[in-house]
Amino acid sequence: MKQRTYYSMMLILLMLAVVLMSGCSSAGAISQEITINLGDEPYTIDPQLVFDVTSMRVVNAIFEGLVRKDKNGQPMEGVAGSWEISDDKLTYTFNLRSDAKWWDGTKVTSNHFKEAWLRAIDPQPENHEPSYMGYLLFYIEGAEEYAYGEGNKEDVAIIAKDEETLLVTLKNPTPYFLDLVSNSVFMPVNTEFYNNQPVENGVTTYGAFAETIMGNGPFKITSWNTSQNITLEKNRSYWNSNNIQLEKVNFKMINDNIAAFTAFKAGEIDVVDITQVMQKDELKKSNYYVGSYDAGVTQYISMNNEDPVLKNTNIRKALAYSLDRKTLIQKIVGNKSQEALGFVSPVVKVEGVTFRDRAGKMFSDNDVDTAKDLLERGLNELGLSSLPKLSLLLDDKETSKRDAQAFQEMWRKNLGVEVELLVMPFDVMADRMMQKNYQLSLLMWSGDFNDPLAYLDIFNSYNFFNVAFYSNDKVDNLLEISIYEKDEVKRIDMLIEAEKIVMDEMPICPVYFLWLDYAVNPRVQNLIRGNSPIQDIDLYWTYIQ
Amino acid sequence: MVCFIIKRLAFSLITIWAVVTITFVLLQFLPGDPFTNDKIVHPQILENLKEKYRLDAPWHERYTTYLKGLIKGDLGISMVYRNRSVTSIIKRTFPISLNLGIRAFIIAVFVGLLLGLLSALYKNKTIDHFTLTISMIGVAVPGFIIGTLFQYFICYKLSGIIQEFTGTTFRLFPITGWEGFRHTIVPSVSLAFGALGMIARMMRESMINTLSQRYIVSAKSKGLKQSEIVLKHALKNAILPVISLLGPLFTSIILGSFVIENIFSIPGMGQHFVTSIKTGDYTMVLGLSIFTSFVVVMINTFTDILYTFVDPRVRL
Repeated sequence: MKQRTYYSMMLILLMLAVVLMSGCSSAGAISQEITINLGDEPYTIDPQLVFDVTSMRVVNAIFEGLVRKDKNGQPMEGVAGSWEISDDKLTYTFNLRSDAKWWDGTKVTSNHFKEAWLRAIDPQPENHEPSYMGYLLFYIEGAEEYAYGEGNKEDVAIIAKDEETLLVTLKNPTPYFLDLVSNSVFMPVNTEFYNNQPVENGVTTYGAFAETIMGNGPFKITSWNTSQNITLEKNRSYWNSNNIQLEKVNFKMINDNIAAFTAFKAGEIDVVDITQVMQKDELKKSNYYVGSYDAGVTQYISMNNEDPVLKNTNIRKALAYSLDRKTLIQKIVGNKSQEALGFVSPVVKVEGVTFRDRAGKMFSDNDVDTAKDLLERGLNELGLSSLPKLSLLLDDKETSKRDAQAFQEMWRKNLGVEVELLVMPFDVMADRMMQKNYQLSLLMWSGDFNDPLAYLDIFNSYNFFNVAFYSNDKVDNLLEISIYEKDEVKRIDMLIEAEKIVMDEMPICPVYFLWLDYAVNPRVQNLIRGNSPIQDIDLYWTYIQ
Repeated sequence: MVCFIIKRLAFSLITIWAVVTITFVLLQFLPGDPFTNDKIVHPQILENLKEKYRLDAPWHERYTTYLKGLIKGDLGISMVYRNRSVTSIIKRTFPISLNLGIRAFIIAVFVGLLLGLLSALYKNKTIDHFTLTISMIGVAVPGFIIGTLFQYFICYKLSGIIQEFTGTTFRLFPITGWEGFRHTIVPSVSLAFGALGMIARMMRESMINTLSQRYIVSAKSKGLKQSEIVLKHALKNAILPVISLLGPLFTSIILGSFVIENIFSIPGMGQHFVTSIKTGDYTMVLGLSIFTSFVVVMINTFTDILYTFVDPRVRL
């Protein structure tokens, strides 16, 4: 009976297969089509409102700013065909291409940029919420005042001189301004289109559906099935469309990592993020291209510098020196991530050299003997006989739990220090940190732009991201004067000095510079995984072989 | 009957109001805010956001505003999925969950009843053992394991074999997505599995019980055919306890498909139950609670009405 059931089941399945297959034909010539797993549903694809990698993957394909990033992550011409920077490095004049078009064929003008940028810093926008990333525009004269509700819209120094010229005046010389301009929040908005989108419950639907968005990028959106897929096709009105080779892009939203991995092996998707070491080994055996890239993220443990125990520099240093980062990466993380013996990520380049190479290592990894000495000294200074049990906050990601357990073990083994792990959602963690109600907290930091300042600024005592509550006048001063410094070499030296002071006092404990692994179907060529969120997936040069 | 329905509706309104109030009060104690996800938000921008969503107003003011909106059928805007209203999200996702749920429910009921019936009739035979195994697996193994296993063995392995066998690029059962009939088969079966096991077990017990009743014995002694005894006399009584189970089972299938939806990337409502709480999307949590309580109340009322048709002793 049992056997008969199985046989009949198989028979039914085969019959079904034959019936269904009669309706499909096998593929012919190579189609320039790629399928990528987005992982999640984008919250929105409105460039001014997006703030996460998932949404930016789509935005980067369908929009183009004045400047975009080349294969190496350096600024290159986008809608602006050229630009001039004034001698005092304060005024930028962007010359827009006359052939830059929206999907509907209308011209992209300097006003579209001006409107978009003002929209991003509007403190109380009428039909949408304030932009999260708006603070990236605070380098522009008058922008910060306007965003804080103190200044006027008219005083923001963005001037549309004519249709093809945009003038921007900055508060200070900002060598990384072009890098900033490649970000999503600086992308244009087609004001005429935007104003025509329906408003529901006081919120515009712009960016919520395929029909309610209009871009100017290399691809245009053709459909968006919520929580399922987004389809793009090549935008023929794009000024450089002759050099874009992909004809169709399918973004799928497979949230479950194992399912995505199975779908990749079955050929349903062409690119998949690898999260487990096991998966990488399995794919390497088959013929898949397994790549990894520096995500530009520093993983670190923030320490509350106002905590009665952690206010002691020697104790903080002991905790940092006693971690064995090399073993952690080799045995547990299992990829190309690098030990962080400084805070600024190796993706940061200044004048062609990475900042990390110039600044060098700031302390040594797994220095248990020094750590023990430091702990002893610290305890003496505090008048304690042993260190009370500490607590470490972490979010509920698998990788966070994995790493935190390793730290816990290393501290116990190397220093005899007990640490309790407290897992909670990130917003709860953030809340506790803001209220100074924590001791240790596992965090990640990625700079908003490619400059050491994007990392070191969190040690500025005025910065709200400084949740370690670290304060050093010297550091504050160095960071401050570096902003006005016009000599690039001197500026970098100041920043190196600042990092040295910080790493000598160890307000936070750097752990590793995160690399991510992914696998690509071998027929896909030139898929760029950049070091910044906006360029996480770049399809500009991609083609199918 | 009419009187019963009116009474029931009035009660359901009170239930929904209680759900709104309790959820609203509980949400006040939810730590964090809906705007902090992966990164700390600039304090000025956070302040602007709170003002925009009126989160800085006292809770009783927000409560009355919300109730006023609710009466007009307005569930508000999702705080996480910017520029989408809660109603539009439910409208889009619920039909998919319902579709999946109905498919799974039909499979569970038909296969479950059939297996239960057969195993009761052929007690201790192969079919009985088979049913027992299936129902044991269905009840004991959680959905995410069943889903993942089915996905691997049926969607990946079996489809791969068929693909190789026929020599085309066509895959019979896709691994993820919700685009056509082919996509629905494996998820529906996976979702049905748990309920199927439960129904089969229940049906078996109840059928065995019924078959040992005196009126069945007397029917047998009168010389009625076995099929007539089972279908005409025993089935009607044996099915009663199963029917009372169907209501709650149906609700749990359509509202509890989160795991299966996640594994097969089906754009249903399930994911929002979990993510909205995780991200602190207040309006979404409230909207879903109201909607869910509405569905549960409706289904329970319907089951009660159905019961009167099956069991005439029950009066409404």
